[in-house]
Amino acid sequence: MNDKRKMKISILPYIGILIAFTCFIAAGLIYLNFPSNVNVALYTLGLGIIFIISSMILRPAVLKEVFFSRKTVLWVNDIFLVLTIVGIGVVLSYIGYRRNFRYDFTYNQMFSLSEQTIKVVRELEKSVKVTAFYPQGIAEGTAVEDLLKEYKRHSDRFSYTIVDPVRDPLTTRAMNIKEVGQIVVQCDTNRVDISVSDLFYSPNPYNRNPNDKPKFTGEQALTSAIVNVTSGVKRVISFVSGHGEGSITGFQGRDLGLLNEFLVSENFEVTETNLSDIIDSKVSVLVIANPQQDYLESEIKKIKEFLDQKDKNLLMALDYGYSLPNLENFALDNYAVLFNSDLTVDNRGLQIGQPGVVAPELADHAITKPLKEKKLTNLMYLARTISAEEKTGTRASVLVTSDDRSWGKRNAANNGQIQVADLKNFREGVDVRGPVTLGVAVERNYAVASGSKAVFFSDSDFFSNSLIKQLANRDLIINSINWAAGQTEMVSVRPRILEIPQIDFKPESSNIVFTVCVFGAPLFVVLFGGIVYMVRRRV
Amino acid sequence: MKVLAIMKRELQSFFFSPIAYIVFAAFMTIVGYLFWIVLATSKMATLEPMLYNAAFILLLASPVLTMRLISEEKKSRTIELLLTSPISPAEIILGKFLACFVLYAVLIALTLQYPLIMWYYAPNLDWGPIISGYIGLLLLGGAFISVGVFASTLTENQIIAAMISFGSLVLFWIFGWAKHAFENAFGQMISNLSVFDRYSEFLRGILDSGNVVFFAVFTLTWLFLATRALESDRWR
Repeated sequence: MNDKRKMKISILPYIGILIAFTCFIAAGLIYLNFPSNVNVALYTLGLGIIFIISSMILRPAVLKEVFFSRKTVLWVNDIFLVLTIVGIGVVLSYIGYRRNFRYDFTYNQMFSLSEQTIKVVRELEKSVKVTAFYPQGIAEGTAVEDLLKEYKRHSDRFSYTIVDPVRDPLTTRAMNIKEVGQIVVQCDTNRVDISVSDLFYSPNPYNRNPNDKPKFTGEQALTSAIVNVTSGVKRVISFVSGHGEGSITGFQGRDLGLLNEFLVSENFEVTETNLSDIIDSKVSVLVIANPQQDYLESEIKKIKEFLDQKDKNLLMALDYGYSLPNLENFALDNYAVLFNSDLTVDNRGLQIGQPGVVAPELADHAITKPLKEKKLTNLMYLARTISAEEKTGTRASVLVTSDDRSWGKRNAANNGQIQVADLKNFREGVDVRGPVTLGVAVERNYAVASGSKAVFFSDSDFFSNSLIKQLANRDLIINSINWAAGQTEMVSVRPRILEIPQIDFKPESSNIVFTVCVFGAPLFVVLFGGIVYMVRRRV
Repeated sequence: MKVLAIMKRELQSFFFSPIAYIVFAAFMTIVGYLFWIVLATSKMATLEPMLYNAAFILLLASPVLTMRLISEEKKSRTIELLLTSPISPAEIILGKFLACFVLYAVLIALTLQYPLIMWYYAPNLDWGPIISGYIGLLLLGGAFISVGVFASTLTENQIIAAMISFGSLVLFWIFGWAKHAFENAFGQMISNLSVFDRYSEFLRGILDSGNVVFFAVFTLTWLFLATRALESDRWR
């Protein structure tokens, strides 16, 4: 009798209840994942309600049976318990994630940030957003993401996004990205771009020194960029124009359009001044680059008045072949830097048939340190020579010199034309034996707060459009301007060595390892197991 | 004590039968071959590929180790004896889990020959990532076994238990892919469940308490689920 009654009960209402619950879950998922399709979620929810009502019409007691039977109570009890435990687990995992202790087991602390970086990130007062442009699955991208994760761990004000330039070309174009691997650091309206060459260092594969290993310098670059964008000060750099200088908006070989772009990406505001009025007080670095005509006395006076103010700095690069007595006297009188009329002849330039090419050597200085650490070199063209004299109140440091096989050629030009054939011959007693100085950094009144800085180069071609992308020319000029602008808080973080030690694994060794690992050890385990099994069978 | 008694009984059944040794030998042959081939081709002093491969092989092997733990008791009806004895379901689950974990630890210990071999050829070997990698491997094993124990409580069919366990583990292994598919909070939430992403941190040489807590919570949650599943047998 009882069995007969059971058989009459339709399973349709129960299926309806099941479908209804599936609809409710689906509605929730649609709502969470497709916020723009709220209507679809609502329809699904409605469908679930229709199924519930239909089930109740088919069998009015279905809800009572489903929800209030003993089994249901036990199920609910279990589900509640399980959800509670899972919830506690989620909370514990979250606490473990937020308040975590992290120990880096690698011998060179490969995945740990320096104390300096941690301090910078923890003391962030504004939100910093970093966008890295890397396609998925490339090793460099993983290294950068690991680094960004570490930064994120130390501050809620730090956020990052990895954009795949292939999958998201719109964002890539909108952010004016020039290369894959570029990183953009933003804070308020300030922006600093980090190029791939600032992140990774690869040794020359053809001239490999065993101690010269691939390095990841991302932490140094990123922390410096964060310091830069969060400083709250947009440093203004002004280029003097009107005397035949290269244009900062031009893209001819001798113009400075590329330098302008690089400076903007370093969070500088770049302006021009023609010295007709007084120089804007917001300017922190004044650049005199490759004038072809000399400055007037009145203009020199304006420059002098500007530089006599606090925190006003100078970068001057005068090329070979122009008569600029007022400017040269200004440099000599105020900074004790003498621009000579000698042309630097580099033996290596002669060897390649380019007598004007100079491959300078870097001296020890804050400007050149990052370049020396990366073993980078520069390239100059038709550089004159300069000398730093002793002067009370100034401190001069040599930045770049020519090598000891070079010399300074006296009277290299005849009627304005360089006599290339004569350059090859060093004239004892006339020419100046190398190494000759090509760049000098001077600190004036360095002992007092109002002291200023100046950088002098005997060539401006190396940062003009034609050569700025060659070797480390961009780094040399940017570092020089940063130093002159008083960016002394730029951090110095050790690079991370990326190389895994290689093993001298000979074929004989390979055979031994193969035999031991693939045959020996498993066979030993099988034999041991066989003995145990046999002994147990006897027992 | 009851937990230890169950653990001892399980270990005896493992080690006194040829199954454990066959699993050990098969595992060592595969991992040994992978260790050798990576070493011979890359010639790099790192155990990261071996530890990664070992984890994947263990993902395949652990359902075989765990499938019989409760299923066999159910099939042979000895589970009723166990459940009516003065042993709680939690103790049964814990005892069986610990037995399987000890078996797993022995399996892992057998792979210690590989760092020693590598150290012989590369005295400047960086031991840090190896130590953290082995810690990760043990935690990962705990997680794998707990899922297997739970799967085994669901059915008396060992093959089904193995398949449930294997499917779940593969899912937890590849959850990390979600963050690339859904670039939103949901994708991030799903990818946070990825055991592989957590384990790869250990392989790189990082011991993060967050990851240790995750594996501990993961293991305990599945063991709790297994306990509830066993308990529910009384009224289901």
